[in-house]
Amino acid sequence: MQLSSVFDSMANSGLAQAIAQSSYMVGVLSSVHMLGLTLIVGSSIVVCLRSFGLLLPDQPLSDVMRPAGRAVLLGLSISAVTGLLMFTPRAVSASENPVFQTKMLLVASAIVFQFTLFRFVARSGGSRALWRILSGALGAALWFAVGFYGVLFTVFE
Amino acid sequence: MSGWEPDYTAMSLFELCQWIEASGIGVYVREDLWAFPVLVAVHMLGLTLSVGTLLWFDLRLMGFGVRNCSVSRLYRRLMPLMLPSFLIMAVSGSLIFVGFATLAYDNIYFRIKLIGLIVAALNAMLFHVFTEKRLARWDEARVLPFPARVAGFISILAWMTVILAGRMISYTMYDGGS
Repeated sequence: MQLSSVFDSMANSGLAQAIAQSSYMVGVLSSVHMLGLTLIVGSSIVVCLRSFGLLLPDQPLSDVMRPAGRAVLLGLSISAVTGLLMFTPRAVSASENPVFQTKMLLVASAIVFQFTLFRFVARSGGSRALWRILSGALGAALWFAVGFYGVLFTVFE
Repeated sequence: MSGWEPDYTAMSLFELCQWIEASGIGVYVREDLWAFPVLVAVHMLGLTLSVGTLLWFDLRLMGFGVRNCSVSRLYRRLMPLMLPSFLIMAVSGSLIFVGFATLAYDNIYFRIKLIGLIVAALNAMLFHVFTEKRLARWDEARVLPFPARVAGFISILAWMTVILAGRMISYTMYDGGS
């Protein structure tokens, strides 16, 4: 089964039709999606700045990373569920949209980065201070780019 | 000067919105291809940054998050990040309002958002004026007194309302949300 036919059947499903017919439903989904993004960006930035040593330098990194990790996971779950529901009715057009494609590429990169390289570097000792700063900056930039492309997609769709 | 001069003697709130919307900035925000999307992007990123970091302070007040850090130290550390991002959010939000003032005036979600902002501001003010006065007694405590926990909870609730209503404005702009 090709990906385009999957998107086709998604867009023609009953759920997609119900969402497409109600701008309120899309509004509510988008609002909750935004809450998820707020959790992700806020927590990522705090962890990034902690890894720079600019925020809460006297707190052990694990004390910041543990609650931040939970907040990012919660935010990701919220954003993923609401994002998928918003995607369903416009699966075909969105999948062909370069702005949306870029956003999804950035989301995937940010998630992989957050839970692999960033976590590894952030937990490493003081000898990797430069790497911590670079990875913190890259993490923050990735999540900001996700937000920016999300807005661009909403406005120019 | 585009449009008409306002009559300051008998101007309703709606007329004021019309006048704001007809200003040069208002026209620019509406008609320029990039002005609106860039403003919305900056507004949302300012919001995620400011509220996303304020959340850490509110959760600390409620007894969650970085409980090993004293309340005053956490506040001092977060403030340099929160203040500029709140400022960015306020300026970009005001500019968006200038472009669509009459539509916002008619929109129920815009009014809900304003109420959320007022509640958040009042809550912060009450916290600083009353609750914070006894800060020395519970600054280092892991579980804070009831008024502090309530302040954290109300702040989270108010900002959630602001975010939810704010997004709803975009989807109900032309029918007023009624």
